Amino acid sequence: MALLFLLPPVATRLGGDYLVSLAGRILIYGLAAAGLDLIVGYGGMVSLGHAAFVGIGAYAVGIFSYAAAESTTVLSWPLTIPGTENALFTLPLAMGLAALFGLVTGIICLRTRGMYFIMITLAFAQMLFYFFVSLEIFGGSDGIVLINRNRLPGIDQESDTTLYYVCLVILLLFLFLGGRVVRSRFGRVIIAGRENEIRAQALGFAIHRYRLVCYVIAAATAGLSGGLLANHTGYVSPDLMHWSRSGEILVMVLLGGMGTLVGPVIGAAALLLMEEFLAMFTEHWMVILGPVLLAVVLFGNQGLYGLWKGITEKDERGDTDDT
Amino acid sequence: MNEAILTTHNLCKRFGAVPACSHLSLTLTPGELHALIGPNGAGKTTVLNLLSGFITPDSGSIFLAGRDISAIPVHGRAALGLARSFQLISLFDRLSVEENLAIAVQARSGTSFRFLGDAAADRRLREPARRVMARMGLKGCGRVITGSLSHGQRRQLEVAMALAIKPRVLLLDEPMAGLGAGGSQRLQELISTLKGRLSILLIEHDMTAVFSLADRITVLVRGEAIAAGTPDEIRRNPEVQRVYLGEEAAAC
Repeated sequence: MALLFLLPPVATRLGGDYLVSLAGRILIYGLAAAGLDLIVGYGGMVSLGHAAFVGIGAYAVGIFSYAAAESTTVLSWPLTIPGTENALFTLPLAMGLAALFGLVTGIICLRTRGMYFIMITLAFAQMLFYFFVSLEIFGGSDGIVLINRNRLPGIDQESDTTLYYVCLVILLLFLFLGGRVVRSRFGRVIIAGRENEIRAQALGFAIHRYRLVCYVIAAATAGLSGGLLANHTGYVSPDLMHWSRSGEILVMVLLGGMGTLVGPVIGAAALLLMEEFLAMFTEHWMVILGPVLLAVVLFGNQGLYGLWKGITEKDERGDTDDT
Repeated sequence: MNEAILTTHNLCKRFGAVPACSHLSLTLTPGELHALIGPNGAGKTTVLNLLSGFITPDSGSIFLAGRDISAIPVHGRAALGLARSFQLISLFDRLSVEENLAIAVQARSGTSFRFLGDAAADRRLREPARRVMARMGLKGCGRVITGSLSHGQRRQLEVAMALAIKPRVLLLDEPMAGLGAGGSQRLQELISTLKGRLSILLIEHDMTAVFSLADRITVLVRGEAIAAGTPDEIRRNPEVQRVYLGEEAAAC
C-alpha cells in the first residue's frame, strides 16, 4: 500500500507524467471492477452492462462541466440548472444518476437469471450507448471535451499526481467499506443467494430486494468511477458505454479474482498494463491476452489474487514447518 | 382439540392431466406431529411445495394461524414461521456448518439491511446457531465445510436449518431419505425431541419412524386424501392396507 502512495514521485522520475496517468486510470477502472465484483463475485450474477453506469457517471460530469465552461445551463426549463465544475457536486451526482439507472434497470434485470441476466444487462447498456450516440447536443458519437477538470476545494486539480491521490483515496475507501459490507449481515444474504437461492428464500430472505440494493451500490460505484474517468481523460464519449467496455471490466474481475474485491483492482492493473505494454510490440496484443486470461481462469482458483495468495500462504506454511 | 395452526381448504393442483393434489383439506393442530404418507407420485412433495409457496395452487387456500397465506411468497411464509426441509438436501455447500445456521438465525433476527457489522463475529447469530448445532447432534462440526459432511450429518443439518429460523410450523420432506438404520434411528430420536414444541408435518417413507412418531396420519393417493386418523386407525384401515401398506408389505 505504501508503494501505491509512493508511486507518483517515483514514476515521474522514471517515465514522466505518462505513468502517473496510467496508474490513475488503473485505479479508476479498478474501482469500477471492484464494484462489479459485488454483483458478479458475491452475488453470483454476471452482468455485461456495467459500462453503462461508468458512462452515465462520465456524462454527468461532462455535461455539467461543459455547461460551466461555456457559461450555459444544463437545463433551462422547467427550472434553470447551471453547469458546475465543483467535484463535490458533480461526483455525487454521477453516483446518484448511475444508482437511479441501476435501480430502474435492476428491478427488471433481476427478474432473470444466468444467461438471461447477461443478455438483458447488455441490452440496457446498448440502448444507452445508442441513445448517447444519437444525442447531438452532447456531441453524438464524438462526445464532449472537458475544458477544465472539476474543482475540489484546496486541491490543484490540473495535476495528474493530485488526481491520482484523489482516486487512490476513493478506491481505498471503497475497498475498506466494501470489505465491511461483504462481511456484514447484508453481505451474508447476498452470498447466501449466490450459493443457494432456493434455500435462502425458504429461510425467509426476500433475496430480490437485497440483490437490488447490491446492484444499485455497484452501479453507484461505477458512476463514481465514470465521473473520475471523465476528469482523468478530459473527454467523454458513448464509447465508454460500449459493450466491449463492459466486457473489459468483467475481464478485470475474472482475471484478478472474483469474490475478493481487491482482486479486480489487480485485474484492472494487469489488463491495462498488458494493453499498454503489449501494444508497444504488436497491435495484436489480444492474441497474448486471450491465452493468459484462459490460463488464469482455468488454473487460478481465484484469479491473480488467488495465485498470489496461494504463493504467500504456502510460504507461511513452509515457515511454520521449519520451526 | 386446539385451534388449528395450519389448515388447507380444498387445495387443488394439476400438472397437465395429472392431479397432484385434489381438494385436499388438511388440519395441523399446535404441537401435533402429522405425517403425510402415500405411494411414490401420490403428491406428497407437491403438498409441501404448495404449503411453503414454491408452487401456486390452481384453487383452494392455505391458512397459517387463521391468516390466509395463499398469496404470500416463499420468503414471506418463512418469515411468518413456516419452515421446511428439502427432500433433495439443499444447503449452502461451500460454507461452514456454523455459517449455514448463522444465516438461518439471521433470517429471523430483524432486518438484514445492516451493512457494516461483522456477521461472523456477531454473538447474536453465533450463539443461537451453536445451540441448534448442539440440539441436532452437530456439536463440534461448526467449522466443517457443509459439502464435506457425511450424508447423515447433512440430513441432520437440513432439519437444523429449518429449526434455526424458530418456526411455528415445521414441514419435513423425507428427512430420513438415504439414511442407514443407525442414521435413521438417530434422526428419529432428534425429531421426537421436537415433538410437542412445534407443529410438524412429516413426509416419510420409513413406516417404522412414521408410526412411532406421528400423532395423526393422512394417507395420500393420487393427490387425494383417502384416509386420516391416528396411527392405530390407519394401520387397521382396510383401504389403506390395500393401496399402500399392503403393497409395501407384499413388495417386502
